[in-house]
Amino acid sequence: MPDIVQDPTGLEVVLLDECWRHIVSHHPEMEPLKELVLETIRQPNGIYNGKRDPSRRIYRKSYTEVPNVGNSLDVLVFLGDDGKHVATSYLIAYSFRMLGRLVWPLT
Amino acid sequence: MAFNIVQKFEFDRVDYSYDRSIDVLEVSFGPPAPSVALQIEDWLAVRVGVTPPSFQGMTIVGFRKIFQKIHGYAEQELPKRMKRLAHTSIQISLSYDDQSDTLIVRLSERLLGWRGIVKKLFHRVSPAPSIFESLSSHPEDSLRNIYVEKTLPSKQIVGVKILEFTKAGPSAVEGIFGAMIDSIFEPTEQDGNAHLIVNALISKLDWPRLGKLVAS
Repeated sequence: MPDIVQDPTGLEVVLLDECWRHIVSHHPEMEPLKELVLETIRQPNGIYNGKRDPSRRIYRKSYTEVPNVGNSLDVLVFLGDDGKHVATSYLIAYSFRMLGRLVWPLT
Repeated sequence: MAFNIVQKFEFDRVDYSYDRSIDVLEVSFGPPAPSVALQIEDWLAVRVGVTPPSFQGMTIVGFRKIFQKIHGYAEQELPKRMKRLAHTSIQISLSYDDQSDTLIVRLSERLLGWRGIVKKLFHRVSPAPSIFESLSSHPEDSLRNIYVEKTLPSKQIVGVKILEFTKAGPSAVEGIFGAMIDSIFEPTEQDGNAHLIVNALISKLDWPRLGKLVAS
């Protein structure tokens, strides 16, 4: 059963079971964190268009603590080429360069 | 305080998975284990294991779309490059001298298995003379404290030296990553050495070296 959530811009994003299995198989720490991934889409700190691939939509949300993983981590969610389905998601501890152009929130 | 750390990495357990439908390449060293990522740029992340600290692999989002711009056969050549990587062993030495506040990172690549034996038998290994060249000549550039070490006469890149490491270290590491990535996508005449590093890495698919530097 796919999860469908709406981001702050009104876009409906789909997380397919197949994609979730793909994420968990390569990033096992994400297994108990599906709700964080969906929350990152629903209530991100920022939505970006990728720097090298401006058609790539990226969601980012910071968490002070992720149980059993660590403190001060961000969840990143990448959409696929169709701009609707989740392609992958993982936790980052540090970002060396800007992810791209901030498209939400616009201040 | 001065130190010299030598660490050897073998890629005999390299595995990869490329899902064309979502255009995501996952490269792993050993079985998947809990990790967090260091995001180098929007498309590239290196994964570092939490316990024990280890380099787990890397994730490239939009592999085909991004690499088609610079190398049309990136996807087709993936199996060959991964196979070559699986026969590679890399030794990294980190030397820090507190008197000069300088960090020197040297990389040496060795082949595993029968390929390595053949190389040892038929190729004499002796220390080659080397020179250091600045990564940037601009006085305001964040790369001005970084020098690449090249062997003579072949001018192969074998290491990197960072001056004023305690002050400029983090921004220098960030600068190296940035210069290397920019030399792929936005090449200029000034980034010849950064481009050479990238060429060396791309030709052998040595991106994991970056991760090793970060993870160490």
